[in-house]
Amino acid sequence: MKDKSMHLNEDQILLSLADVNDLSEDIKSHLLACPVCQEKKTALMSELEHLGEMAKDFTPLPQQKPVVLFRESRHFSFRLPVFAAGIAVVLVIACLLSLVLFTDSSKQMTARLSTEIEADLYLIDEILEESSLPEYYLDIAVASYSYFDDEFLEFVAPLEEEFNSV
Amino acid sequence: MEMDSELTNDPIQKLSNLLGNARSGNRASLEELASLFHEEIFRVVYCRTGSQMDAEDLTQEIFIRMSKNLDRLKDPACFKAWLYRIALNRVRDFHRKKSLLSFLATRTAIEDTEPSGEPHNALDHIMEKEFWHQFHRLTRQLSRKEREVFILRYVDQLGIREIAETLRSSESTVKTHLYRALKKFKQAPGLRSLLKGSLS
Repeated sequence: MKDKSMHLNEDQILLSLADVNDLSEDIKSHLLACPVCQEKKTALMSELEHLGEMAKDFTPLPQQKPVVLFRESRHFSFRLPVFAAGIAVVLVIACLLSLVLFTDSSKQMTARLSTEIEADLYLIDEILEESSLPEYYLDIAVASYSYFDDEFLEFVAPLEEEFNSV
Repeated sequence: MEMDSELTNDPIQKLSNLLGNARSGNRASLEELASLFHEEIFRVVYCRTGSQMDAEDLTQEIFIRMSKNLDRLKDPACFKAWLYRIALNRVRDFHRKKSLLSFLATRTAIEDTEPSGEPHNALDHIMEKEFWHQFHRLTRQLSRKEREVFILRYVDQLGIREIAETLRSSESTVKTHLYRALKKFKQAPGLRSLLKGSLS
């Protein structure tokens, strides 16, 4: 803005209100030196300042006191270590208890298993034994056919070899 | 004692001390912090809602939200911008609800600003009514961003940097919106003649 008779246009005045530093050096120096442009800017500025003042004047005062929400948990930072320590102790106790319980139960389980194995072995022995029944019951048991000797059986059901030889 | 540090004359230091104490669980500091910004936040809300009753309710909500979320504030230096952001968000929610209600025809259309409860003469009352009427007429012509920037700058008296922090925008964006808003303000004869008339 080399021509001194030239003044800032409306946009430049508005830009200077938004931020004077955004204007070019030429315009800034003109604004500093030119009373006409300064007056334009000042008039607009005082209108805007007055707008703020009037808004403030015409705003009623609040009737209620502000209510704030005070949280006890604000002490959380202090209580946190205590709380964490409590949790840790409970966890340790739980771990120890479960360890003890687990060990006991494993012993019990081993004992039970060995008892079952013994019972199974006994049963297998009984099955494998030729005459597990006492002597007294052998006569009435279905499986007791000890009085059929080999000769009798040979007579009832001769072997194939013997048929062929006849 | 912690409270002794609040007796300082430096407002920034005082605010910082209050914030620190309030964050560490001092109830008195929290209450003092709220009362320090009470009038300012009430004004912010009233200018945007135009109703004293709604402004009272919203201001309460804002301070409750402030006290609830004070722990989340990362930089205490940004407290004012943070509080303004809470206020603006609450006002935006309020307008959203209000427009939904008026859409559902459960309430009448947006009312004009209620006159303040202060007793004053008839001329003041007329002036006040006319001012808010012209003010809202202008702000309705502005886009949302332009309106926010304009009101924050000239009614709430915030600096460009503070506005940028509050709206989480860059300073150049704020300046652009401000420039556009000022252009529309220049073309608002009603409000400008009212301002000129009361200036002279």
